[in-house]
Amino acid sequence: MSSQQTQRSTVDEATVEALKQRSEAAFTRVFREFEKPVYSLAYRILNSEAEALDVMQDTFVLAFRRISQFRGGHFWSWLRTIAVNQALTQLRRQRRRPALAPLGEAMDPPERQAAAGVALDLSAAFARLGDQTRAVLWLYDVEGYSHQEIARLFDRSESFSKTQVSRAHKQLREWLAADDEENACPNLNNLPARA
Amino acid sequence: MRLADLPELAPPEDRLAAVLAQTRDKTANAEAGGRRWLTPLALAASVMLAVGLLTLQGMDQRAQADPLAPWMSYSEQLEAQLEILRPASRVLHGHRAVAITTLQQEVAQIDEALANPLPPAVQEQLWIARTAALNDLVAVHAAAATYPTPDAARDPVVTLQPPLAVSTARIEL
Repeated sequence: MSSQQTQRSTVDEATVEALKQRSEAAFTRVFREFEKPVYSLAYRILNSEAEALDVMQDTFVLAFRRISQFRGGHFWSWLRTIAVNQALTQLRRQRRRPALAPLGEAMDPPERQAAAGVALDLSAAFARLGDQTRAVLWLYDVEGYSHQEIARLFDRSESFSKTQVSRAHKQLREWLAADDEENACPNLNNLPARA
Repeated sequence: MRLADLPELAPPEDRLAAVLAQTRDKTANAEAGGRRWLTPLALAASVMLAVGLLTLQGMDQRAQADPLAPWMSYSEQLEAQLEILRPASRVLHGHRAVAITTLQQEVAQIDEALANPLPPAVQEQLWIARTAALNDLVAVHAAAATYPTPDAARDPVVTLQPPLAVSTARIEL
């Protein structure tokens, strides 16, 4: 689980009850509380501002519509499940670009801006990964999904997930190391390796 | 630097109003009994047309078309999504299969009703119902493609709406 998630506040019972009573004030409060994490998650998976916005919107509409199904516990975990489903569905729907698209192509800001300059930071390198690889890596490294859970999400084997993560780490290391050599840019060698 | 340390991104557009509007629409439908009443409505409209109880005074086809256009367009988009999702999804679980069959029957019944000339308000309700049913079909197929086995804790689609009671519903307008 990422540090962002552990710091994220949950939704108290009164707010959940207000959501179930269709209180627009509660909808607004929860939307404002979670719009950034939901959008960020969708953007990291989809690498598209427009698609991430649509997924964010659909996620909240679905969540508010299905709030009666929330059985307590961590609201973010529940909301995130919906967001991940929506994002992966969107990923499947669209004809996505092939893995390792050339830098500067098919990228949305800020990745395109980063690519236009000399420096290749972690965010831009991550955006350069293929769609499926990027989604798997984000779910594993940041959202804390297990290989088994990822395998189920993608209807593939655990080996698929492990391979995607391993290759992505290797690829990112290479890109960032090359960039580091060219630009003497510090602090980019320490790539994610989840325990 | 780790991926988890990348900063959260702020949405470039405020979608709160859109979310509230959509939630309001869905809430209104839910309070009216969800789509359960709409299939009987479709059937009732057909029956009433057949026996001449429902009059169609001064209906201008061109004037009707405009308010329906967004629903028709959205329906088309959803059908296109279904074409993509159907081969990818595995509808193995009984609950999902029942939900899909029921939704498909609902769409078919609505289509039958829409084949008749109807007042604009009824047409609009039927197109909304059709869009809602297709939207749920997309959601079920997407869930089936994502999770071979439904899981109440993480599958927000199938566990939420029990199969609709179509044939046993009372027909009321």
